[in-house]
Amino acid sequence: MKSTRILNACLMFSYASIVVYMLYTGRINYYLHSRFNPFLYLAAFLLFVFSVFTLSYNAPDKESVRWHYAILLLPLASLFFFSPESAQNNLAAVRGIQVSSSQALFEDGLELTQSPMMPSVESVGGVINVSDDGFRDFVDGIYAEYYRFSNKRVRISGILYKVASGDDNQAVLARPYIWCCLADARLVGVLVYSHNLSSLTEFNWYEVNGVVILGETPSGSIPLIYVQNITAIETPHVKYINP
Amino acid sequence: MFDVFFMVFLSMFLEGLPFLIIGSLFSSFILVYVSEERLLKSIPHNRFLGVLSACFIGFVFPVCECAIVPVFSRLVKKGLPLYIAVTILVSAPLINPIVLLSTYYAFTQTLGYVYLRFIMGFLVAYSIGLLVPSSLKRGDVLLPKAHAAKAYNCCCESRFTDFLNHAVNEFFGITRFFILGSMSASFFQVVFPRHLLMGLVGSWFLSISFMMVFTYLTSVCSEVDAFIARSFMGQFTPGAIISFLTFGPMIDLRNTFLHLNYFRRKYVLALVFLIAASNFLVGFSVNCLLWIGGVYL
Repeated sequence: MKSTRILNACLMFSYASIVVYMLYTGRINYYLHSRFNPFLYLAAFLLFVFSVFTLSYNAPDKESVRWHYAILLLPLASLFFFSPESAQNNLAAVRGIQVSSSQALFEDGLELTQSPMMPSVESVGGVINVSDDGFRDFVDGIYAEYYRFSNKRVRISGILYKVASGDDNQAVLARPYIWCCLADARLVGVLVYSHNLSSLTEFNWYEVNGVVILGETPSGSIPLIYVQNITAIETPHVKYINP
Repeated sequence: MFDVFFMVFLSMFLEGLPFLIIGSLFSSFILVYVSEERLLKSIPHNRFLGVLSACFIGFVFPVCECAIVPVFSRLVKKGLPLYIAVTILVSAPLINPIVLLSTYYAFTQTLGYVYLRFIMGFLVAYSIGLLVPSSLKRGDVLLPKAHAAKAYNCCCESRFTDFLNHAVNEFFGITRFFILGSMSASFFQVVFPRHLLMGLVGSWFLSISFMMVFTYLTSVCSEVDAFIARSFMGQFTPGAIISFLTFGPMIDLRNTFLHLNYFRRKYVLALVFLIAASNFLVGFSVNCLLWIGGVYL
């Protein structure tokens, strides 16, 4: 059945082309950890070989079921109709945002019981510039060993998520992490506090300059960044971090 | 939420795609190049030794749960005793160096989980291997169409073209089931009311059951499930976390769909039940042992 062979070859060629396109443009990082890239190159290569073989070789007839193609086309269709950017924005709603490796979540209603106070200028010392790769270590660090970061100035960037606390002055600055694929993606973040957060746009990227202090919640103390200055920044090329 | 669902589905598909192709190639290789006689000669005649060696095949053949299903079905079709093939199916995605390493990274500060995952995983795989009746023949478990396709008859110009032809057919045969499985798994990933079920964690029975259902439905890759399991530490009993770590690589929703492509429904259900029961017992035993020993992980 020539038409089946052509259909199969086209399908495999499309899979391979999409994989190569995603690898070439870096969009694959929205879906998978970069350690899968060599496997995907191999997959694309083998799919090209398969499709050329299927087209060129007159294999014995094999029964084909047409409706199966509807299933096989689903991955291609989802690539065209859904954008990974919007998925990233909704990830927080689906998964919640973790605070450090302790894996606690910023639950709805997490609210500071009293407004944190900016420490006096004399007590603030040291500056920490948090890089992309260092984001999680920093977030882990302030929870595990707060005393090392207490009253330190920090410059950090990430996506702004407004937690449903009822307090417009608090938000979470988070970064999405992929350990393997989007199925295990998590948002890891730190609470930020400022008097002018309500005017900022959720899901946009911001750079925060602030001081690490402790805030009080009904369940105990929580480290946070008291914002001194917050500025919108351009969306970085690679948004997800591969630990 | 709809877009997250499709993105998670797509990521699962892309993650599994290379391994589906590799699995198809291995399966086709076994069909075309490995004779039944050679295959049967390579396994020890003693059942206990045969199952034992099958438990550690993952160290020479470290495949994930997506690639193992076509290989497993091909081994069964080729006449490998079912108890050996099932042992390979449940052990290879769990007892292999890659999973060992990822579990080590996830539980660096609580190595007890790393040891327990592999000791208990081995015990479960070994027990399952011994529990599968040796009287069970391939015709009893394979679907008629799969059973009919067990023998290799050269149909192409050369063995190599045959090898490629079978690999392509195998790829198409399993990919649609893999897609259906990935869609179901991403549905549960996105809509599973995880927080609502947190109230169940107090009891040993419910916490183990919940973790097993969770890993089955979400079908996370065995390479990375340790990182997910770690996120439940402190909320669930250690036995529940161990059950999560040993059960997921052995069978999950996505794989169940793949199995249904080759095997009779009754057999697939029995296999899922056997694996689930063994892993539940493991979780319960871990909780009992730790409780009796007064050990906290």
